[in-house]
Amino acid sequence: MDAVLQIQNITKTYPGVVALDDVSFDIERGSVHCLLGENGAGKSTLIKILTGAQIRTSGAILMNGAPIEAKNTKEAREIGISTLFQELNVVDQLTVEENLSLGMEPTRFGFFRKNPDIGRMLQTLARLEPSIDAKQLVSKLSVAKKQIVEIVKAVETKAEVIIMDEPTAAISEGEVKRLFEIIAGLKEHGVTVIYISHRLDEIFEIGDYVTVLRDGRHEGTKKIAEIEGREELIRMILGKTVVETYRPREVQKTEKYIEAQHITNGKLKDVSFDVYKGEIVGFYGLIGSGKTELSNVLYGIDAYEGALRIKGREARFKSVAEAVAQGITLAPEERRSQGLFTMLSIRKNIISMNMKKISRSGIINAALIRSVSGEFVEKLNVVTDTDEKEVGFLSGGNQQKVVFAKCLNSEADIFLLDEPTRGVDVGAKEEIHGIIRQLADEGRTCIVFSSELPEVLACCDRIFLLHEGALKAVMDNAPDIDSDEIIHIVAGGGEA
Amino acid sequence: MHSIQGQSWRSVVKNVYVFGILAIFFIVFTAINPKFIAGPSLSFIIQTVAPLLVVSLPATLLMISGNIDLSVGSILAFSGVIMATLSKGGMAAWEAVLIAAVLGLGVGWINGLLVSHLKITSVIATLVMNYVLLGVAKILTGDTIPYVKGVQSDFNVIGRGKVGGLPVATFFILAAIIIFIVLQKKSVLGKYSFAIGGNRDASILSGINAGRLVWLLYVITGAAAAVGGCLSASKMGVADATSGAGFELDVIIAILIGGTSFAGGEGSVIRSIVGAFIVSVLTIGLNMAGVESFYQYVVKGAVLIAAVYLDKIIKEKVST
Repeated sequence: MDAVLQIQNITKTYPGVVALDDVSFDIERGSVHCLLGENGAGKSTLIKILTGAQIRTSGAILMNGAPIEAKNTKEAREIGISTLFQELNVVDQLTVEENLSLGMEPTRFGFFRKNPDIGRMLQTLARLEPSIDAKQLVSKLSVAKKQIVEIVKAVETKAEVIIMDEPTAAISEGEVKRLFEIIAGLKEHGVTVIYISHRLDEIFEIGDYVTVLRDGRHEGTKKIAEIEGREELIRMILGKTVVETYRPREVQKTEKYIEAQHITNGKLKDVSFDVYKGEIVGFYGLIGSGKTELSNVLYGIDAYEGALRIKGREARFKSVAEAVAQGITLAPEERRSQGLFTMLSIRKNIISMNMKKISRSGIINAALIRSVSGEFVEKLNVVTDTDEKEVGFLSGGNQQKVVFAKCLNSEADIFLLDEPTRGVDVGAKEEIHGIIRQLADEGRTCIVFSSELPEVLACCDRIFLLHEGALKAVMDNAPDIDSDEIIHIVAGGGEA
Repeated sequence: MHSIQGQSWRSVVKNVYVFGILAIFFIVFTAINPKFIAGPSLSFIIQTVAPLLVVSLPATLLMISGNIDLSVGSILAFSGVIMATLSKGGMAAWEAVLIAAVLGLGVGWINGLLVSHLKITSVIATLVMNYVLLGVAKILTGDTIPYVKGVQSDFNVIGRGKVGGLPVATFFILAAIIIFIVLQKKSVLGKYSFAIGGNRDASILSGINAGRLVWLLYVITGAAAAVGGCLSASKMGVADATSGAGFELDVIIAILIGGTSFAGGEGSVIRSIVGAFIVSVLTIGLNMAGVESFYQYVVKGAVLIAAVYLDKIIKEKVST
């Protein structure tokens, strides 16, 4: 194999998270190499390391056999690795032509000279997409056409490798077809494309190779031709090894805490379900199946049609504050950016959702803070020498415990847990699942949104399967539950 | 084709409405005080607008690049003081202006250093510089106000003098207009200002040295503010260390009325010229209507809010 890029033993760690763990694989010259994995599997981290946006902790990258060391995206581009980010790097306020030659114009005394390359650039543009007028402002172009402008620019700066980060996420079907033709053309010219997408059909259509990452580890690299079907890919993405087995819990299904009827919005299609007091339910599905959207509806972020009853009372939240007032709380997916104040101490994080509890007549009482914080640090077993430590320095598992403590302190009894164990190590995962069970045993309702099947299987009493915004099946969990059937359903294979 | 035509029609509206605002001010002030239309001679308007215009144009390019210079007021006052000091020492006005300009350039260089090299947010860096220079100017003048006793007789020429019936300030205005329109439309600096303000990451990825260009814009703005300060001191016949107070707001109003985006990426030197005239006409009109200077701040503030809001509405309409 003629490898244009060799990725060797790349590891990347952040405080508290191992984002990439000893990842190695080769990328063949002139191929379309797809990169797959769930959110948080390490794809974006790998891309950032390839493009110099982040520095690896250890490992090496070889390009054409020689080690490369790009310190930023610009240097990567000069080496020959261009990237189409999802946030496109074009200047909306300039014309297409100005964007193409931006930064490469020949100048004299601070004024432009005629650019001898512009003719060639415009030819390439005309070849790839004749409908783009070079004099047009880029802001008037569709996302797809902006991408093409960037591709032209990459080609013209002699890129050997073009990384495309979900290029089809925001473009129409016809435009996807056009993009694929362009990618095929790039291949013919010997350009290598690293292609990231969650749409498996696309992988089969244009990919030559696929590399799957899971939980920061390299799950495998295969020729697309040798892959038997979607389900094999999904199995690689999701993994099948169940670390923990489900311990059945007794739930008295007496009091309905959540009754959702015909919830419908842009992403959700007629979703109806009930959740009882003390229950742990898991919503499981691939990316785009509607997990996040559903949690947004329950937490008062997104609008919807249909009816929602919380603890027997009609609810139509106009804000998160209203949802919180009804005893709902969310442990968000992006722990560091959405769940915590990473620059504040454990103590200050824990008390942040319930100021009444630590103040008297509006004045904050330091002794109350200490006792409240101490109580939760002990209850959730946050491992730290002092609760005055900055949360940013904690491990992922401990950070999640602080998020839970913060939610618990809000005195909520409905917990929305979005990817509760993302990026935490195996031991801490089990501990967090234990905490979720403890919360439920104490009479709270926990709703887990997860893209990890083992997690859902390990801790949820009932499993709700989502596919493209619709609730496809509800299964009672049991130690001998048929995980093949679950994968079949979330991949769009029909009802149970 | 239809869309292209629609586009050009819209861009005409976008470019022309500022002239409408200027006309409205003329009409309003004439209605309040009929003498207004005949009152201030064109020369007076030109002499009033000159310092503002000379500073607003480079500051427009700076804002297009996504940066701001709040120190222009103090540079203005400081350079007026420098000019007066040098003139007292017997120096010819032209030489004094040149030296003040070089000092202003130096201040701009420091602003650029703070923003581009030390990466201090431009609002903070130039706000602090504004403060520092105010102090320096006060140190130079001490308590003596007016600080012009003993200046050379040519001190008033650039601000108030006339050559062949034209105010000398006219030439400064024309020079600034030509220089900055050419810079915006034709030069690397002008084009890249739009790119940097529009999408800094993309422009850096394209190989543009954004930091250095922004630095250069600060240097140019600093020098221009110094020239503006000389024009202002010469016109007033006073070099007052505190005379720059509020000047930066006039500059910002002029630029924003001209429709330049505060966030950068779009704007126009030509429309800032009109913006500067609008601000000056407003000042003159309020003076003639007998509005005290304290109330003028209130009115100008209201005008700024109205202008920015109007600009927002027009942009929304034009872009849909």
